[in-house]
Amino acid sequence: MKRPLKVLIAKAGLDGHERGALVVAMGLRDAGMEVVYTGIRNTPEQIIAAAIQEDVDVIGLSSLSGGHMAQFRRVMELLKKERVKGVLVFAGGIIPDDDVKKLKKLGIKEVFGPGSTIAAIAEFITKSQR
Amino acid sequence: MEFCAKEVPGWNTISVGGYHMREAGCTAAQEIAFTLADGITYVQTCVERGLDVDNFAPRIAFFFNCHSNFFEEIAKFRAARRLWAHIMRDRFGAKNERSMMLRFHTQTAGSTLTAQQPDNNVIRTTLEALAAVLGGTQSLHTNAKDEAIALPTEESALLALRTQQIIAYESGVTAEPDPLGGSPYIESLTDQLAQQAREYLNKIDNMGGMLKAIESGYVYKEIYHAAYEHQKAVERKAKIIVGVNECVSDKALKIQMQKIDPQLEPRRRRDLATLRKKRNATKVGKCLATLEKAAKGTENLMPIIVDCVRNYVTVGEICKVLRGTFGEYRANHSI
Amino acid sequence: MKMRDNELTKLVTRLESGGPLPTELYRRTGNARILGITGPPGVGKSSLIDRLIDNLRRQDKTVGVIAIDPTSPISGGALLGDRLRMQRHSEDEGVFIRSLATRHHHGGVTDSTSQIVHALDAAGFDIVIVETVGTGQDEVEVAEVADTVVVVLMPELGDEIQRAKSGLMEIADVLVINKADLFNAHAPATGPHYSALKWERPTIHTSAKSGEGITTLCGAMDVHHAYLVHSGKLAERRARAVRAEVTRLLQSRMAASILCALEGPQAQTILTDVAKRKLDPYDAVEKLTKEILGSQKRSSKHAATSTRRQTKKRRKTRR
Ligand SMILES: Nc1nc2c(ncn2[C@@H]2O[C@H](COP(=O)(O)OP(=O)(O)O)[C@@H](O)[C@H]2O)c(=O)[nH]1
Ligand SMILES: [Mg+2]
Repeated sequence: MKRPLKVLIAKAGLDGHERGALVVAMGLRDAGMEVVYTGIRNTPEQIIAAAIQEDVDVIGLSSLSGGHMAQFRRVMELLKKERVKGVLVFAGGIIPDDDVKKLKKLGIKEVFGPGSTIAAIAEFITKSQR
Repeated sequence: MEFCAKEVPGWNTISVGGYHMREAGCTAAQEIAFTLADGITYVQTCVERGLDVDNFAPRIAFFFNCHSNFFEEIAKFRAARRLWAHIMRDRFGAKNERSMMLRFHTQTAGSTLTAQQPDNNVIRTTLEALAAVLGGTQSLHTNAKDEAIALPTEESALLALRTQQIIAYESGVTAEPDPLGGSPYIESLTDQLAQQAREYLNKIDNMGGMLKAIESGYVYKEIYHAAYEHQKAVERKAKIIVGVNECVSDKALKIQMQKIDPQLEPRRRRDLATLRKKRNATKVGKCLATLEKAAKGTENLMPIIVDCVRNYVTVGEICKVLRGTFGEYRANHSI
Repeated sequence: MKMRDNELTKLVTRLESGGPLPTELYRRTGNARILGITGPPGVGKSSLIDRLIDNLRRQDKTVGVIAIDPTSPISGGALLGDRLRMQRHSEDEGVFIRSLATRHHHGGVTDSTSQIVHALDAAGFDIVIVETVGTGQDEVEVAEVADTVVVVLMPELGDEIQRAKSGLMEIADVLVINKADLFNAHAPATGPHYSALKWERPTIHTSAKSGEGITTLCGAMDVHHAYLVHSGKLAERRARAVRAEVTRLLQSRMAASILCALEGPQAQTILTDVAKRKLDPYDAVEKLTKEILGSQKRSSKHAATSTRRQTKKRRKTRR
């Protein structure tokens, strides 16, 4: 039996806006995924360590405080440094269009802004990882 | 509160907040209950410290959200006022009428604003602001139309200000404090919300009070379950959000966005470094040591904090000492 | 950050999906102390483990944690929230935390818990902690894995939890009453009396919030371990664990064989004969048992050779 997709949902940096991340975590659980939720105020190092130890297929990063460029860039750097392969990274939150382009260049596959549905996020993950 | 009751009696000591919980996803009834439960905890603590309730309660203020359901929000403010008056009179034995009054500030709901078709947010904010005024708010914050995307620009912030000025000066709705009182619909909504909120308050009392309810993870769970239910309702279109799940337009609207000057951070760092160099380091050390010692005891910290600030101790340094003594809140996620 | 986690984590994933533990890794197990932490949901098991990690790390012991949460019976998904409480240890080289979903296995742990415990043991962790789901009184399987079982409760539990308690109490080596801070049930200054010669289950009051009682708890677990060693009970327990593990593996193998045999043409004939009243169900079981045992012999030989081949291919994990 193939295991359900395993997803890490985390918030990096000093940002307490947790509603979106939690709603996505609950939504992906109800879409049949195994979701590890590590809450707010993770350092990029903690996120990567968790992703490795949990052997997740997907990492979802959330940011609403404007710190996304610095934080997410570091996550992507560490991912490379630690030679983690085959993990899909997506992001969500309040992220200006210009930055979305930059984040995609860093290897973040998709950025879900305000108004995105759980259904769309789940479909994106399933399509990309299967 | 103890300090102000003596030293600055005209100061509104505390703003008991419900805004953040509503933004995090709770319902109107939960917003009333959780906010008042916080208020009860503050009052209880002061009373236990030996303060006379009528001495400090008149200076307590509240801070509510105003969400999109027009009549429900008006009823919410009315229900909260009624419940608080009863709590102050019956539970805490307040005699002064002012102790029973619930005065409140309102901010329109940031979480109802959409990134899609941002101009629509002006209408949303106008309606929410109107509901707050009809519900009897003492002061008001109106959000700018671009706040779902970024911090507001000067222009959008000005429009938000003008929105409430038009309500205040032109609409005439401020002529009467409770203009909808007596309407059967509003009265029954008010009763319903008060009843629901009372049930939550009883539950919290049975848990041993709001602190325990928070620490057990109950409040957190209630809020996020409500947030999840809301999201599901939006996705199945049981709730319509114009421009998001209905009345969508393909045309991508470009709006001007506030960009934060990247030089701001280094400039601030420099200012802070200069301050640290210029101030009297011995005095700073002494102030912090006094603060730490006092924090471990039961003494009122306010005069000591004022002294710290006089000697240019930073808020960060003060908080660090307090964190070291009191610990730091870690949210209890029990999902 | 530790690179070695990369290999261990992949091994755990294979084990989680029912893959076998390489023989040479199994040979390296038996050194770790295995702690089981169980008790109703919300009593603070994960928070206590967070504190235990702190304490153990200060003694320079390395810690592996397996934290189990239930799979949703409706969606098949799961929200794994235990890690959240221990996340601050993520980066510590001496700590490895893995969250698992039950995937419908009952008993408080997962199908593969023993194998994953072996993997962490072989990887060289001094202490391996298993946190169970904590939903029912039948969650006693952890006793078949752990050397020391800690049952966590809190004061003022409702009826439902009191019932769950009774089943759990039978497997408790150490009883913890957590959230002492909330209920003013302050821990006595000295820990309960216990000795390495005769084990009397201690009750320890803790607060994962303030850290109160954690040192006492660690002490009690150490003494319990000493007791197990001196009394010879450790060997007894581990023999029982081996028996339980082999039994479980055997059962799942047999179950698979039964399902497989029932699909075959022979079985179809037998079942038809029973339906036609030519055979009775007992005769059918006799015949099918022979059939299954016959095929079992053939397939197990095949399986053994293929496992050996796989094992060789796999590089050694840590140490
Ligand atoms: N006040 C208090 N709260 C605690 C304590 N231990 C855990 N909690 C809280 O209880 C809730 C459940 O804790 P958790 O460790 O997830 O429990 P588990 O479900 O048994 O793993 C969380 O909100 C914790 O913060 C404690 O000693 N005191
Ligand atoms: Mg747990």
